[in-house]
Amino acid sequence: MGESETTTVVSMDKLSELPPFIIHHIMSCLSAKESARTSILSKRWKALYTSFPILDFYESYTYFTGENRNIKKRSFLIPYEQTRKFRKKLRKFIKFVDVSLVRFCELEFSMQKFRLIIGLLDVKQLSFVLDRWLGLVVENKVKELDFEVQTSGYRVYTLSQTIYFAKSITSLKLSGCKLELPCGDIRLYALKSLSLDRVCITEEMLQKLISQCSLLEDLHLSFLALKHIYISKPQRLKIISIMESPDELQSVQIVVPSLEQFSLICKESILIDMVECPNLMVLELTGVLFTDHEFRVLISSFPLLEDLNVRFCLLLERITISSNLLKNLSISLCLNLMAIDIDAPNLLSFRYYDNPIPVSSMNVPCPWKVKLSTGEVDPDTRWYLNVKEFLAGSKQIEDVILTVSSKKKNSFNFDECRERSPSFPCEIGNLRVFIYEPSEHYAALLDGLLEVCYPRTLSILRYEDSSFIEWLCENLMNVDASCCDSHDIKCWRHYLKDFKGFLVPKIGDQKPILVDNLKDAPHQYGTETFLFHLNWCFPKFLKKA
Amino acid sequence: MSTPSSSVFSYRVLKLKSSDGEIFEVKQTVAVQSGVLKQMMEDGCTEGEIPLNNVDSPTLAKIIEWCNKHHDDDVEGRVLSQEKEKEKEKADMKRWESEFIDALNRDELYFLLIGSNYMNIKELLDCAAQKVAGMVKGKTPEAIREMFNIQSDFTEEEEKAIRKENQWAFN
Repeated sequence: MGESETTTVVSMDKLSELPPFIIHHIMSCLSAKESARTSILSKRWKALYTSFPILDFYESYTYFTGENRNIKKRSFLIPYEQTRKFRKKLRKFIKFVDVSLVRFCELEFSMQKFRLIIGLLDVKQLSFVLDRWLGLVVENKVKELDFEVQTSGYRVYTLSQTIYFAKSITSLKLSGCKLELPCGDIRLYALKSLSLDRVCITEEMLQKLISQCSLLEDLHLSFLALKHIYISKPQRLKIISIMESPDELQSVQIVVPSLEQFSLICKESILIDMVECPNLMVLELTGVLFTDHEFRVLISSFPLLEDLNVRFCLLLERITISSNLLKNLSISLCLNLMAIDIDAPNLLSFRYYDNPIPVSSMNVPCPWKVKLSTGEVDPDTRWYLNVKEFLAGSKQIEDVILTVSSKKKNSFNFDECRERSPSFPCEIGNLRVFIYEPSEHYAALLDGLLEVCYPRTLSILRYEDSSFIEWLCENLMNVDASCCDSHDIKCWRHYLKDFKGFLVPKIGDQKPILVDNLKDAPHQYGTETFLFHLNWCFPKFLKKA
Repeated sequence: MSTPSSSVFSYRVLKLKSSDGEIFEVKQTVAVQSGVLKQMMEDGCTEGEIPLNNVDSPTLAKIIEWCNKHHDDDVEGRVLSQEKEKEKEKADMKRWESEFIDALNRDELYFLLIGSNYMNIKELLDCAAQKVAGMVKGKTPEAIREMFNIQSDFTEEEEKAIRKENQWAFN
């Protein structure tokens, strides 16, 4: 549809007649090159492009990006031969930026956004060009400035001081350049969002910059290679994120009572002082090496905390949290965690991913999402029991993902399980399993899984060898429930009423396909996941209240 | 946020008058999606008919259809719904949006751009602008001209000069 009118009479060019604001909006959905190419359509389009207030230019040198982004790891000697092609490209690019910028500035409109990403081989020769561009941009009252200079690291571009007097800038992103202490005061009076990435800056300069931007709301610092970061003053600062590579940062001190969100990514044991941030609501910690005690002390300074995300904190062995306000909690990849004590009755989501199976004491009534794996140990009855016990601490479990792989043995003994844990396994939503096991382990595996929990759906990723799915279809169809006679609590075979098999199409939103003939199922279609709907029927006395 | 609380506005209805004189009744909770109408409500000047001189009745009907679809009756109560459902809802909405936009002919699309800009409905404007941008993407200038009936008023020399000046973009 929509193309039909082109065949009727000579239709009008209504697109060009749209108001400039709308055309500019359309241009903002195009890439820099594509929007620049519209200038050749007609004189009107040339004028429309010239006045487009988003000036977006990028020309990266591939050697400076990707793995080589870390300046320290970059070698600065690049053979001239290799750079010839890029030099040629860069000349065209610089001319293009120059012409576009001058043309826009002649109009004396205010600039909404200027983004420049440029790879520089000769910093010395081109510094004055960048200085001039920044001068023009500031003069034309730019609101958003995104400026990234990629260099060899041998010589860095020192940012023009005009930047510090850009009263119109509300959002400033700087990457790859060097910031030097300006002589006078910093006059970034409108600045709300500041992001510094891989810039060369001293602790003193950073402190001065931040403390003199009184309207600042967001602050993002990444790879500044500073030892100490101290942030204070801006009274509206709400969000801070800090990212640093190992062996750099030693301490972070933040004195910002208005702070609501803080995120720290740093594989290091560092001193964190945030006592003066009592209004913090969202906290994300990745890689930080603190002890149980340090963690507890830090958390206790945030009485209003609602979201907590702890990732890859390898020194943590025990996490203790007690909060009535906490809404979302995620603990993942804390590989040495042994115990968790969580009392958070108002939690809305709880995610426990890729940590060891903990000893736990839980008051977490919300649905859980759990992902566990056998890791280095061979699964035995005790392993399955530990999983069962951990899951039993929940009121409802939405999703459990289990990865099972063993080196030699995978053993499960139902009698031993019944003896040591005579309770009924909990019912859960979906159990997703990843299995890396030889076929002789299948029987123990299935018994183990279905004594850990009773899933309403069981999903199994198909891999090239779909033998487990075949085996499972076979075994679910021919359940022999002649065991467990003298016991009140029986094994899963006695409670499974019926089941259905589905193939889940690869493409996201299609519905699973019911499979009638399970024998052929594993070989059908190009699907990725096989899903079993399991219909359980429990005797009344076993039902939970 | 300064969104008026739904309890105050939910049952009240605005009367919108299109450029060709047709009256459309819209719930206030739906109308807040228009920046212009929201401002009028906050200023308390929504009594009687509200004339929308830049929007004709077929376009206004489309705009209201969009707003009705995007209006959420019970935002608070649904916060608790599961992540998966939310994702699915999002995907469903995306599909609805692209079907809605794809079904328009060129003229309807232009009127919708003008109407959504005039009424300040950001999401609809974005969606329609994306649609036009998608038609432009990956095409040569000649193909774009043909598609939208744009007459070039450049001489050959002028065109050459533009290409040369903007060589980086034409590579």
